[in-house]
Amino acid sequence: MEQDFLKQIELHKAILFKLSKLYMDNEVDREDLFQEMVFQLWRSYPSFQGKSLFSTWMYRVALNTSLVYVKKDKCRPKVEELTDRLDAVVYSDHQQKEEQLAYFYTAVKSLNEIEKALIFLFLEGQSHREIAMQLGISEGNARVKLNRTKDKLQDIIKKQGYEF
Amino acid sequence: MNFDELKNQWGREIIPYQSIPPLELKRSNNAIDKVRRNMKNDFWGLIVMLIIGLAALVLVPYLIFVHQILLFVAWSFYITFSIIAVFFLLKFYRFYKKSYKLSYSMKDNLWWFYYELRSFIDFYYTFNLVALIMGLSCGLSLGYIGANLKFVKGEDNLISKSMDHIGDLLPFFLLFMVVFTIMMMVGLYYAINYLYGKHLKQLKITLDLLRDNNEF
Repeated sequence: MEQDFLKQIELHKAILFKLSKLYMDNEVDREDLFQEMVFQLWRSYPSFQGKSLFSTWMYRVALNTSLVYVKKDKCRPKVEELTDRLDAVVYSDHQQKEEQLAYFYTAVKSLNEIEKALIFLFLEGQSHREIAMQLGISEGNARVKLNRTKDKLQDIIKKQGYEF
Repeated sequence: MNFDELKNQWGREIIPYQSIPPLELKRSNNAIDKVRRNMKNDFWGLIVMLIIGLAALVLVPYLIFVHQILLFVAWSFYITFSIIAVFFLLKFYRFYKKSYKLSYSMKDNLWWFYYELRSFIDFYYTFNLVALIMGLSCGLSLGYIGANLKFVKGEDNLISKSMDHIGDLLPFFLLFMVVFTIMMMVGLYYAINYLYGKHLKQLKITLDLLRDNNEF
C-alpha cells in the first residue's frame, strides 16, 4: 500500500508543490505545508476507495489540509518588492511570462483561503462543477465566487502597477 | 488580465526537484491536530489530578491526625467530583477518538469537527466552572468545620457559635471570594480560548467563506 501511495504522490507532487506555493509566503512554510499535505494524504489514504481518480481525491485532501493549516509566519506579502523590478529594461517573451507568474503569485497572497482554493482549482483546469464538488458548495456558488475572485485578483495586480 | 494565458503559464511552470518527505510527522501543524494534542494533554492532566487527589486522601490521615468529619467532607467532594470527571472524560475520549479517524477528504468532516469542538468547548468551560465551585465549596467547608473543631471543641452546636468569631472578617472574606472567583473565571476563559477557541475561530472563518452568499 505504501509503495502504491508513494508512486501516486511522485506522479502528482507538482499539484502539492503549487498549492503550497499558493498558500505560503516563504520557503520554510511551503516545505512544512508540503510535508503536512503528504502526511494527511497518507493518513486519509485508507479511506480512498478508488471510486474517483487519485488526483481528484488528492485535490480535496490537500485543499482541506491547506484550509486548516496553521501558519507559523503571519506576515503580509510585500507587494512593492516586485514593482521595483518592473523598471528593468527589455524582457524576452519567456522572461515576461515568468514575471507575470511572479506577479500572480504575489497578488494571490492577498486573497483569502477559499479564494486561493478557487483560483488554484481554476488554474488546474477544473470546471465549475468540479470546483463545486471539491469545495462542497453549489455550482452556482462556485461560479459566482470564482468570478469575484478573478475580479479581485485583477484589481490587486492593477494596484501593483502591473497589467497583463 | 488574460486568465486563459495565465492558465497555460501555470501548466507550463517548471517545478524544482521536490523529494517526498517521510510519511510520518512528529508534530503536525494544523488546527485539528493542535486541538487534539491539547485535548490529550488535558485528558492526562485531569487523570493525574484525580490520582493525586486520591493519593492525598488516602495518605494524609496516616501522616497527620485528621478529624473524621473532615475526612467525610473531603471524600464526599472527591467522589462527587470524580463521578462528574469520569462522565466528562468519557465524552472527551469519544470526541478525541472520533476525530482521529477524521478524513480530510470531505468538507463535511470539517463542519463536523467544528460543531463538535464548539460543543466540547462549552462543555469544558462548564466542567471547569463546576470544578472551581466544588473546589471552593470543599475548601470552605473544610476550613469552616476545621475552625469550629479548633475553636469551640467539646461544645454543642459548634457551627452557629463559631459565627461569633469569624463574623468581623466576613465582609473581607466574601469580597475575596468574589474577586477570586471572577479572576478564576476570566483566567479559565482565556486559557480555554488559547488552547481551543482560536482554532475554532480559524475553522469558522474558513468554513463561513464557503457558505452560499444568500445563506447569510
